[in-house]
Amino acid sequence: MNPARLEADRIRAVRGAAAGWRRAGVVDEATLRAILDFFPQFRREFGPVLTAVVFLVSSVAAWAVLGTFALLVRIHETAAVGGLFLFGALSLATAAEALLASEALGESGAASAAAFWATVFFVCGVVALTEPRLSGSFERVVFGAGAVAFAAASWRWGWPLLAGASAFSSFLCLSGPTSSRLLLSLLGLVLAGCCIPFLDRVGLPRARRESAHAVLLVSLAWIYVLTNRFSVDLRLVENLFGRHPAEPVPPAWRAASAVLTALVPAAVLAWGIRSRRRTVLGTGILMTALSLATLRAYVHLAPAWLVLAGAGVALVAGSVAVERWLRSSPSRERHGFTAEPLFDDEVRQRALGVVAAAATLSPEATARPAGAGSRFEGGGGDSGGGGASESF
Amino acid sequence: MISAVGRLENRGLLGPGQAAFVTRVARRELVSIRLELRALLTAGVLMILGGTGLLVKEQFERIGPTAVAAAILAASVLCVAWVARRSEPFSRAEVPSPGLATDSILLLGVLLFGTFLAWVELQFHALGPGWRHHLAVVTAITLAAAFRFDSRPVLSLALTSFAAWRGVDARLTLRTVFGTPDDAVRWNSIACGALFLLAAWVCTRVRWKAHFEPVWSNLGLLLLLGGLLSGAIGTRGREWPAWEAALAVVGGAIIAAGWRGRRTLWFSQGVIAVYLGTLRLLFEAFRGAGALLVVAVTSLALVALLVAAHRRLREEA
Repeated sequence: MNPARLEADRIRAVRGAAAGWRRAGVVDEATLRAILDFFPQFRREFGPVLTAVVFLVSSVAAWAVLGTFALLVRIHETAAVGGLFLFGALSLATAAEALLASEALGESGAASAAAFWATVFFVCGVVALTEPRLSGSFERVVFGAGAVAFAAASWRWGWPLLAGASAFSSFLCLSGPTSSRLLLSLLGLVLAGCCIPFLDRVGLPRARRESAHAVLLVSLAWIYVLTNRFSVDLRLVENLFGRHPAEPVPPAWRAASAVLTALVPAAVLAWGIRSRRRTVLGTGILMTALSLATLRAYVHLAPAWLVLAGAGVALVAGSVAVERWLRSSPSRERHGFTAEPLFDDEVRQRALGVVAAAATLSPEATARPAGAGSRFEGGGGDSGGGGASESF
Repeated sequence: MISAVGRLENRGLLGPGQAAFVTRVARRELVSIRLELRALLTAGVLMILGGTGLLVKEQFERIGPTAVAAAILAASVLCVAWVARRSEPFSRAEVPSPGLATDSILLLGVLLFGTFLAWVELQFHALGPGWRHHLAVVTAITLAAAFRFDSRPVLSLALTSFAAWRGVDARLTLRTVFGTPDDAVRWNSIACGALFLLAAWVCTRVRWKAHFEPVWSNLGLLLLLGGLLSGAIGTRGREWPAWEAALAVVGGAIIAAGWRGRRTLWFSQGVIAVYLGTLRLLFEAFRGAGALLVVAVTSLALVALLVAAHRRLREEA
């Protein structure tokens, strides 16, 4: 892994944790200052918003430079386009290395943009160069190249997102009308199993541990997609690229998937609770919700509105009960869980809550501003959202 | 992390008690599930609203409009009463939240009230041709609830309801910018933005829930810049240079204010808006490879500028 990135990541983890300790009141301001001096900043750290802005602008720059070259050289042939993409990938990979070594730009978002687009350009280049010789295996080449390129990028630069993208590409590469769900599930299981020893390995850089985490989550999600009964009946994996399989789903697999739809989320949820891994716990909760939705699709328990509203009430009541249960303990914790923020950034979490409320619950705009002589038309919108919709 | 804590303890920067607690959290012997509980509460609220919508849609003929309205209103009152029982008395300053669920239950209460109003309007046509004004009532009620119970998510809902009443969908700023909204929507977006910014200034000035200021100001900036950007990108002919100029002036002022106030979100919103406006200008002035080259140079220059600005901010801090 790039040594500059390794060192920056290690120091940032400690400095970030120290800021959390200060927020929680575990250390005072003077101690925080002393810790920050003891672990001096290796490179300048940008906040998440500014990093996102720099990433966006750098991405536009990368594509604009490539487009300029393409227009100046007047490239028309596919092979030449492939060559240009590979040249762009090489240039950006070099730029990423240089940027990561830079004190000013290493953590600015420019290096991650260069690394990400270098990988994407490499995949585009490989696809463009091999495209004339491809017959029916276009997707396999795209995702195969993606799996290799993202894995190499993750190995060198350590961003967990790249590792997750590599795992996702690998699964897509192996999917298709002739793929065996059983084999793919076993492969996902093996990959997830391979990741587990690395999740907490002492001495392993944090970036590597987080990459293992990303691959684990993608593998678990993939196993769930392969084993979910609704996905089996819909042939979601087999029809992925618009090619329909000739053979029907084996009855044994259909029966097994009905059981696995319940078992997989339960197992993931249990593991999340037992290991106290928040990401696994979150994945388990999400899978459980999807399995309950699957159950509703096959078994008519009650009218949809009752199931939805009842599940919502159960969720709200359950969350309130869990919070009270945790808080009612003298130490405000039970079995290693607490509802206190600990070292989390409560201000950021609240801000996310405000954004989430504005994004999901705000009403639809009226078709014309009120007062512009509008008339009720109906036939659009949905419920909720402050009752802004034109009809129910 | 655990080795770093050990080093800090050896240096005397962390006491044994502090180190033990921090190590416990680092080893995942104590884990906070606050974020997960918040997410579940939000999901629960969404599901209840979805279920209520389906109930009204599918069952209203069987149950009858009055019963539906009464049931929704009762549920809404129940939610607000639950929050009122637990919350502290009103204060102009920030009031600590009595629990994790308070904001979510209050959101559910006001949203159900909004659903009730919409339903009453749909069934009984109380406002007639001015039916859209029920959103103004929703805004007023939601705003009052936000101030009374000190809830930022509910305030954001009040502001987006107000924008929706004026025909602006705050969720779809990108559609407003890159789509082709009519002039009325564009001007309403700008007016809403300006109004929210004014409210942000007033609430800080008179010290009435001054901690609400970021919600007012950031949503205000989003709508103001969205409206101006929509003019700069979506208009043609002799109109667009005026929009470009307005965007440059307002965006520049916001960047300057963000810089002076050390507010990254303001600064970033201003930079993005002016940058996108500049891209349109460049594509109007140049064609083909020249345009792309200028875009590349401008983008790289902007990255350099942002890095320099960040350095300056840190040095001053």
